[in-house]
Amino acid sequence: MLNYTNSETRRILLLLVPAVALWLTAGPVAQGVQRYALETTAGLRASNVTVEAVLHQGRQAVRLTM
Amino acid sequence: MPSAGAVVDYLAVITGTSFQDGTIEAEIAGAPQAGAAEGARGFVGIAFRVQEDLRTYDAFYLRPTNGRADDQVRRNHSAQYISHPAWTWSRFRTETPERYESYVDLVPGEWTKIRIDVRGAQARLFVRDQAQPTLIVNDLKTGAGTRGAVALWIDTGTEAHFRNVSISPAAAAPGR
Repeated sequence: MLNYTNSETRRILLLLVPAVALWLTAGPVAQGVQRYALETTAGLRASNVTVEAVLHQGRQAVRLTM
Repeated sequence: MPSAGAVVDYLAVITGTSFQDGTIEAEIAGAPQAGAAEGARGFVGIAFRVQEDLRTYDAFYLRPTNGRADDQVRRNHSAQYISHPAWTWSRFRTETPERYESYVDLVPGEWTKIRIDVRGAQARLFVRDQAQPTLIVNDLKTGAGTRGAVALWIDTGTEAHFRNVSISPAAAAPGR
């Protein structure tokens, strides 16, 4: 079992703060990742296909057919 | 196989997307539809830089029934790059055989994770978290600076499934 002193804990936290800040500002969330679970057909514009929300291999998805 | 004549595009655009450079990830599964013609391969993929006419775009797609075919030539045609309307699979295969197609292990109807990295006129297709790309394209036919939507893509005789699409724009280059 490790015993950290208050000063050691403070030093670790001080090291973590800039790393977390960098991750938050430069990470994928900050860069605007768009995620589409595709559990429904909402937001899909079909062209020459039929789009349906279905379960495939136990996972919610959209199905495209002609 | 898709018709080599008049091109009909079968896709579903994810509305509100605007993509030029970056990364697209998705889980996809494709298989021939019941009663499809013998040449159906379960064509399934992702189109990007899709223009308003819904006919002009780049795309990577898979031919799942080729992945484990007992014919090496078919296996070599498991993954494909196209750029419609001008650059169809058949034109590529005629004019530049092998350059825009590749082998990758696939199972029809099985969920397959893909990642597409696009930078300027270069694009890379990764299948199933592989460290190395399945297919590389160094001359995207839409050019280096085209922007457009992202779409789910299929071709004739296919029943395809899609889930968990994510689109990450490339980080802007630092100013000088």
